[in-house]
Amino acid sequence: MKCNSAIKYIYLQKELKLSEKQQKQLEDHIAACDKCSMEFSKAGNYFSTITNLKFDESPIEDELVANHVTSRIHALRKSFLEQMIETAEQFLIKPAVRFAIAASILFICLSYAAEEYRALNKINLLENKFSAISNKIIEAGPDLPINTRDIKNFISGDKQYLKLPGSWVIMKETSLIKKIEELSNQPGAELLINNQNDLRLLLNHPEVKKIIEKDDELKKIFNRIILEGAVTHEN
Amino acid sequence: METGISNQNKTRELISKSISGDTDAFRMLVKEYNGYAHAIAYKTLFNHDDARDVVQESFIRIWKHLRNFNPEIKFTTWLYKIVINLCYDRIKSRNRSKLIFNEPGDEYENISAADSIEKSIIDNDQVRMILSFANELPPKQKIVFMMRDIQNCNVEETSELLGMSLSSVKTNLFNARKTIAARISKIESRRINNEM
Repeated sequence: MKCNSAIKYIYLQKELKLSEKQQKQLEDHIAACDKCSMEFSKAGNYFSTITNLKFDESPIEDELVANHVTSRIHALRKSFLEQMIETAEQFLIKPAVRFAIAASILFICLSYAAEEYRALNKINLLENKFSAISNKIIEAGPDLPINTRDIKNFISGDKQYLKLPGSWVIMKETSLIKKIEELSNQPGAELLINNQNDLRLLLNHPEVKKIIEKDDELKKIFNRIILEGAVTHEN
Repeated sequence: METGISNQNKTRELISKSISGDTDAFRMLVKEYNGYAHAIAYKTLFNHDDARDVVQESFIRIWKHLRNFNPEIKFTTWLYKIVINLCYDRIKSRNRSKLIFNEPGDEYENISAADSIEKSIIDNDQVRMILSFANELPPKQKIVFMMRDIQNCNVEETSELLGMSLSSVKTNLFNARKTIAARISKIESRRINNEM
């Protein structure tokens, strides 16, 4: 047996649970080795000192400790709001709840993203259409009484009508209806309609409908127009 | 203390009342086990004030975690584990303070080892002497020594309660014993010289 092992066995005799053979080897080594014999004597002194230690009796302060603990417990008692927050925290800690919250947030974000994507697509589409129309108009030549600024103003609401090449005029729906209502009070007044959209609005206007219903001649003319597919009637 | 089934039942009853918020029941539980907890803390820290602080902190911790108490284990086992771990924390923080700020520790740590030893020779106060040696040990060695040699826990319990491996407990115990044995031996030779 080597000295290192012997010293370890000396100090941890109980803990290492030496076999009889190891015990015998240890005893033989101690008998033969001065250094380990000295260590054995030190260890014996140590164990006897430790075994004979006498401790002070602990002062029993049950009442004092109980008072301190109870007052601290009272201080620890939480307000209703704190309890609610704690309950919510405990609830949120659960993996299933956290997963559900994360999934909901993800779903909302994706919905917004999809909506945004659709809106962007629509804008792109409109921009493409507008640019195609304006290019066409610009390509039509410098003599035309219309330019892209007129179209922009018409769309933004600054202009109530838009003149197109030839005799075509597009009127804003509100201004056209206003015009029809004005004219309906003036017998014999004339309204020049020169595009299909305005004609459709005219036919669908209640005042005009009344006039048409009363006049058989007019009725025939407009029915023919509708039958020929020039406009669609909203009845 | 739990001396029989009736005591265990009483403890269980006090615990279940405490869980439902009855502070009077918890107060009774504290009074019932204060002596036990104090003895453990004192035999680890060797300072009544520190031991009392640790005991109070242990009961507060127990109050906070009463719902997690496993009724299959003895209440004293749970209490022991909490007290020992708080003692270990205190030993470690004392050690850190000493290292960083060179702060004096408890009443015994205020005395230099040499003073303490001189006094113990005169008074033959072996507890004081062993304590002064133990205070110079690293925290792991100190707690293992306290649990095994002062409180007579076996190595398996020590390992489980401190969350250390068995081999680590044995190594720390070996080093602690060897250091303290060497110091005792020196003191003994000085004592013999003084007597001569």
